[in-house]
Amino acid sequence: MTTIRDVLRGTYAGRMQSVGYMQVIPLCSKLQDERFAAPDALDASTVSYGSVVFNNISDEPVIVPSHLTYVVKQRAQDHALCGASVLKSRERRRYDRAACVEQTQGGYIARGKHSFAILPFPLREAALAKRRDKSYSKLWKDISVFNSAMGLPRGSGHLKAFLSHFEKELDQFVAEFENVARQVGAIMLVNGRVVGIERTPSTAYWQKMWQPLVRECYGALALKYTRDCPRPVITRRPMDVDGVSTLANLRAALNSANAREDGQVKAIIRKLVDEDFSVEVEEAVLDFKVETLKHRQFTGQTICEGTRVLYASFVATKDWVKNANWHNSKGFVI
Amino acid sequence: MTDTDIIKIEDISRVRSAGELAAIALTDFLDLSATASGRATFHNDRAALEQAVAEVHRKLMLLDRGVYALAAAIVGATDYTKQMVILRLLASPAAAAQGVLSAEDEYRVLEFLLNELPPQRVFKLFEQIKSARVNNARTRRLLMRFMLNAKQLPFWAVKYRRKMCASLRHALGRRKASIVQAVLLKAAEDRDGKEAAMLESFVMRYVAGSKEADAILEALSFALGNSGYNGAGFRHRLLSARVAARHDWSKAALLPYEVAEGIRSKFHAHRVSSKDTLRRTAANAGRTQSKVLQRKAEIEGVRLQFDPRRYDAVELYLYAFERGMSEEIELTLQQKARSSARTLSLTEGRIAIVLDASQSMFGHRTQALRPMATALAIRDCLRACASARVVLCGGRVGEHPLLVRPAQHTALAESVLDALDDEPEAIFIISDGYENSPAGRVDEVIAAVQNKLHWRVAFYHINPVAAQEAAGVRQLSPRMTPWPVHSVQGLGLALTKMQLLRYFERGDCEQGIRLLADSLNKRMAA
Repeated sequence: MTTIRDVLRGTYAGRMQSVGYMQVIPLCSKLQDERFAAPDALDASTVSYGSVVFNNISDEPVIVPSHLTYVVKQRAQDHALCGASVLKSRERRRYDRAACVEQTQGGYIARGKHSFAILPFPLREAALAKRRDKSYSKLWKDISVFNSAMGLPRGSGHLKAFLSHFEKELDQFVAEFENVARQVGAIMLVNGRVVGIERTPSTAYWQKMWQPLVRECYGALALKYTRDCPRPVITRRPMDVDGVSTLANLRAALNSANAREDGQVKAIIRKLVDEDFSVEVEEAVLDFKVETLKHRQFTGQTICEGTRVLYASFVATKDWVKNANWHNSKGFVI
Repeated sequence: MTDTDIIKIEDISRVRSAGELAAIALTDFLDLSATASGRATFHNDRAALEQAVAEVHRKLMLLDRGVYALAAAIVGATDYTKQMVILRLLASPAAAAQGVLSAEDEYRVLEFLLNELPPQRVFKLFEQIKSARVNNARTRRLLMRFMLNAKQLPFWAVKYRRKMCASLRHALGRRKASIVQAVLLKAAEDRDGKEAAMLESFVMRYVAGSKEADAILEALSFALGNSGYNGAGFRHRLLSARVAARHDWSKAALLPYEVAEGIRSKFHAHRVSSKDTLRRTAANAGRTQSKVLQRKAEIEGVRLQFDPRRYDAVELYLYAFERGMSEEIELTLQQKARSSARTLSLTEGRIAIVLDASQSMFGHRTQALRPMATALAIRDCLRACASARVVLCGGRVGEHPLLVRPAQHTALAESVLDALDDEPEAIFIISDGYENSPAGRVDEVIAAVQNKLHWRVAFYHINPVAAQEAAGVRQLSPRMTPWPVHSVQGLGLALTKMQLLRYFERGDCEQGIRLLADSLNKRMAA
């Protein structure tokens, strides 16, 4: 039995960072597990459509995060993985259930180190649901719907179309948010609602994951909100400056506003649905177990060693996001 | 500095009567002077930019040519701005000089501007002067004095021979230039009285003080096309090496890299490689070449001497981030900060500096740590200007107290409150403008300080990072105009602009113009 509380065990929340539509609550931890290399230690290539071959060239095992995506500059079909995995040190492994993310692009990715992304948030739930599907075209329709929702031409199942069109806006997210000391993960909010939880084994690993997560994954959702909602929800608690006449008063007003924001962060975390996930085991490598978890609010994957959570990546389910107002409404009382 | 060395403000009535127009023309000019480079940008092509810049220059010069000259001498003005101002002022008769500067003071400002330019830009300007057919007495005096009094005249004659020849022929005129060239074929002891008098009248009258006449005349002779004296070579070792290197490659060791490489490719290409040119001339390499060589030397495992005095403060901080801070670099940084501070006009005596050292100050990976290095250089400079307290926002002080590495989130509001503790006259926030804990909190604090506490502390936002989405630099609060400052030199311009705007807001143009003159006098003294 696993709950969100179990997933977040050993971490503590940092101060919320809030800019425009996006908010980030850093998750920090004194438990640093430095045994794992990040995906940039992998040599990657594709050998047929839907098949990605990884060569772990490091001496440490590599945690392959959920929805790792390669969008390369070569004339090649870009690919995304639909689930997480673990590669042993110096291991070569072929994944045949990857998804092509450019509908009409031909060519294979040449072997080498490529910069990686994480699938945009609106595609992740669908990708996870199709993780066992062997069709290389399994995400084209979802990408096409997503592109069209973002104002790009209909019928285009090209992830690159979205990434190129919104390149500057996505870059901005990277500059807006910053990592703090001992950060190993984050609770991601868009427009005041929790949309994702990310946890990694160490600060070093997290730093490699931060840009792909904030830029391509959650940045894409924030952009979608920018289109759909004319004004962001103000998550900042304004300072109460009535009666402020000295510097000490002003400092107290700032501290009070900060305290209210801390309270808000705690409330957000308390509100996370703490019921048990349904669990499906995907694979076991060495002592590490890859599992897919789902409940009403979140769906995602974890990598555990025994009961210890090393990696977790959850996204809010489409149904939960759609009915967020209902879920957040208070119960009936008289 | 004596009284006669000081640039004095003469008649300010014209500027005063122009009132607001003067303020607009001057601020427009200062806005452009820091960025105009004569090159196309992402948004504008070169021709459109040149037209816009020319219009701003025209307006200010029409208002008062003295103010125009003073404004160009402000710290941080681009070389392009200086070139354009010199050309325009030379092209219009000095007799028309009526206004804040006398004709003689205007000439001294021109000389100052010219001396601020690197030699390649000076010779480029001389080409423009020639093309525009500007050849009045002031122009001739400016050109000749600049070239003949240069400490590096023989070196320039070797490196910029053709350009110098063209400049000399333009300044002297073809006839006089030919006479000088012919006379200089004779050694000093062989010249008759008439020839010596001609040299004195055409050339030596421009030479200030008792300089080595022989070295000057030899360099002039070489630049005009001579290869030595009749029957003998030059006595100056650089000039003689330049002539001899054509047939004796060993002499190339004294020459600048480009010159030696030119000679090698023309006269020794069949037996000497370009690698040999690099090896022979490594000791004569300029600043930029040294950097290139440093990288190459590292690859080949060769140790090269690093002289911190040759680099600016931002480059030194970048170097220290990479290789660590040494005592020598620290001392040089302090000296540079003090030297830059001497040229700045800061009216506030007690200031506080809020230094944003949050993670985003790391910058883009293509220019890693440059925003932080710039911020640290600006901090040092401000600290050398006035009594200053520095408050960090985020960051990590590691191996050396001066070297702050970017880390953590941006909670500037707390730092601003800490900075207010000592009741400073002004707070300088050095930040990229990306506030996230939460965004907008600094604005709230500043609003409360101004409207609730009614403190008269001035807030300035210095931003070392350009932001595409802000079409300039990112703003922290609408109550503070962000000042784009990408170098320590740019800080001078920003500070002067801040103060000028304050004077103009009060309708005090006169004080603004005096500020420009004071700033120039300080720099001339420095």
